[in-house]
Amino acid sequence: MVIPPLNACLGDLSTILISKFTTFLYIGTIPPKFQKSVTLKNNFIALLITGILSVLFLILLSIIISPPNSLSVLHPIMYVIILLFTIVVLFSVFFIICFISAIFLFKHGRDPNNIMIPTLTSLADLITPIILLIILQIFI
Amino acid sequence: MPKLARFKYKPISLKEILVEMKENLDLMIDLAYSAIRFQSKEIADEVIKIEERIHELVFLIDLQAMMAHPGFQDAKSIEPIVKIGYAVDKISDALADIAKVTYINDDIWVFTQYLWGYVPEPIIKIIVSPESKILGNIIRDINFRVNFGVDLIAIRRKKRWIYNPPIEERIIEGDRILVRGEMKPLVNIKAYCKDSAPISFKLEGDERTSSFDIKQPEIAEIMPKIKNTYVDLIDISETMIHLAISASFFNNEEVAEDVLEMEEIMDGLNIIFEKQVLDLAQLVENPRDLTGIMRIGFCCELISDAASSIAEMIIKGFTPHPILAKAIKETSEVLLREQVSIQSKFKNLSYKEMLDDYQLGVHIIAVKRGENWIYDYKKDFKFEVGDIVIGLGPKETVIEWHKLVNPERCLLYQSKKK
Repeated sequence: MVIPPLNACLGDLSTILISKFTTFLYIGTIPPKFQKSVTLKNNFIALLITGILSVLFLILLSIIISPPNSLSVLHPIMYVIILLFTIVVLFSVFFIICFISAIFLFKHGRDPNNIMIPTLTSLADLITPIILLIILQIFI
Repeated sequence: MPKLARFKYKPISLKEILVEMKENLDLMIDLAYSAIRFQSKEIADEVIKIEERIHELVFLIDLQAMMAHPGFQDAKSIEPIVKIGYAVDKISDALADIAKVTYINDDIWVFTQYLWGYVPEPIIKIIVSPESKILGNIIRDINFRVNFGVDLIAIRRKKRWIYNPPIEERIIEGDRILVRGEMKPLVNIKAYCKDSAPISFKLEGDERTSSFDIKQPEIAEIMPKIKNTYVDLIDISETMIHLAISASFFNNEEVAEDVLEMEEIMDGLNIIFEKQVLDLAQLVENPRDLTGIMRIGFCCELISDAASSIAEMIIKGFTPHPILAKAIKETSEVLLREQVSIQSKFKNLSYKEMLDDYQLGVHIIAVKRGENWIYDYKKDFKFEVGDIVIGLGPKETVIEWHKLVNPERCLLYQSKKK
C-alpha cells in the first residue's frame, strides 16, 4: 500500500532537487565542481526533513485507513523504522545522483531539468521497491 | 562590414559571467584611455576585441538567466544583474568608441597629451632600465598596486603588447610598461624603474606631427576651459561606473541617488564641452580635427547614462541577487566600506597624507559625512571620525586597510571569530 505514495514522494523530492541544482548552477550559487558547500548542506537537510515529514504523514494515513480496508499493521514501530530508514537511504542516493548528473549535464551545455526530471521519476519507480525490499530483508 | 563570429554557447554561471565582465570592464577603461593617449591603433584593436567579448557575455547573461528557471523572488533579484549586463555592454560600446577615435582622428594625442597631467589618475609609459631592481621579477612579487599604488595595464615588449599581463609574467630588460595611478605613486615607480627620461607618450617608430598648434595664443586661451570640462567629464563618468557598481554591491539607495544627480551634471557638462569645442573649431584650420575630442565627450555622456541605469534599479527597489556581491568579491579589485573610528589612522588625516602613508593601493571612491556624500577630494580634504569611506582596492590589502580605518571593529571581529 505504501509503495506508490513512496514512489511519488521520492519522485517529487528528486524533481525539486534537480530544479534547485539547475538554478544554483546557472546562477552560480554552487560551482560546477564536486566540493562541499553550505548551500548544498542546507538543501540536503531541508529536503530530507520534508521527506521524513511526508513519510510520517504517509505512515499515519496508512495506519488510519488500514482497518477499514481489512488490513492491519503487525509491528507498528518496525513499520515506522523501516519506512523512515528507506526514505533516508533513497533520498541520500538520489541526492548524489542528482548532484553528479546536474554537474555533468551543465558542463556539457545541457539543461539538467529537461533530461533528469523524467529520468529520475522513472528511476524512483524502479529503485524504491528494490531498496524497500533490501531494507525489509535487513530488518526482518 | 567586419565579419562577426558566430555565437558559441559556453556553460558558465551568471556569477562567472559577472566576474569576467567586471575584469574586462576595468581593463577596457585603462586600455581605451591608453589608446587615445598613445594614439595606438593596436591598443584600440584590443579594446574592440574586449568589446566583442562583452557582447558575448551579455548574450550569455540573458541565456543563463532564462535557463535558471528562478522563482519570482529570484527572478526579481536576477533582473538587476541582467540590467547591469546591459549597462556594462553600453559602457563597453562607449569605451570602444573612445578607442576608435584613434582611427578617425590622427591628432587626438595633441589633446590627450596636453591634458594628461590634469586627469586624477593619469596613464604613463615607463621604460624599465637595466639597473632597475624590478628587472627579472615576476608581476606577482612586484605587486604594483600594493607596493606602488599603481595599476599595471600593459607591457610593450619589442613590438608586441601584453595586455593585462598574467601574474607569472617576468619583467625583462627593454620592457615598456603602461601604468596608471595618482601622480606621486607614478613618480615613485618611475624612479624605482630608474627611468630618468621626461614623461613621454611616444612609442617606438612613432614620429607624429600635428596639423595645428595648441600653443597658438588664441587656442591657448580657450584650452584651459576645455581642459577643465574634459577632466570633469572623464573623472565623473568613471566615478559613476564605480559608484553605480558600489550602489548595487552595497544595495545603497543614497549612493544610487547621487549617481542619478551626477548624470544630470554630466548632461550639462557635455553641452558646455560641445559649445567649447565648437568655439575652438572657429580657431583651428581644419575643424574636422576636433571630431575625436567631441566624440570622447559624447562617449563619456553615454557611460554616465549606462551607470545611471544601474543606479535606477536600486532606487526602484530591486535588490540584486547575492551572487553579484560574491562575483565582485572574486575580482582582483574588491569594493570596501568602512567607518572611520576613534582609533583610526585616518582620523584627522588629510587625503594627501593618506595617499603618502596608508594608501595600500586602495582608491577612495566616496566618503559619506553625515547626510552628505563627498566624491571630489582636494589634497587638503581631512577624514573625520564617523566618515564612511568607500574604496576600491586589491584583495591582498583588504584586512590591513580595514584595520587602519576601523581597528576597533577589526579587533571585535577577531575576538568573535576566536
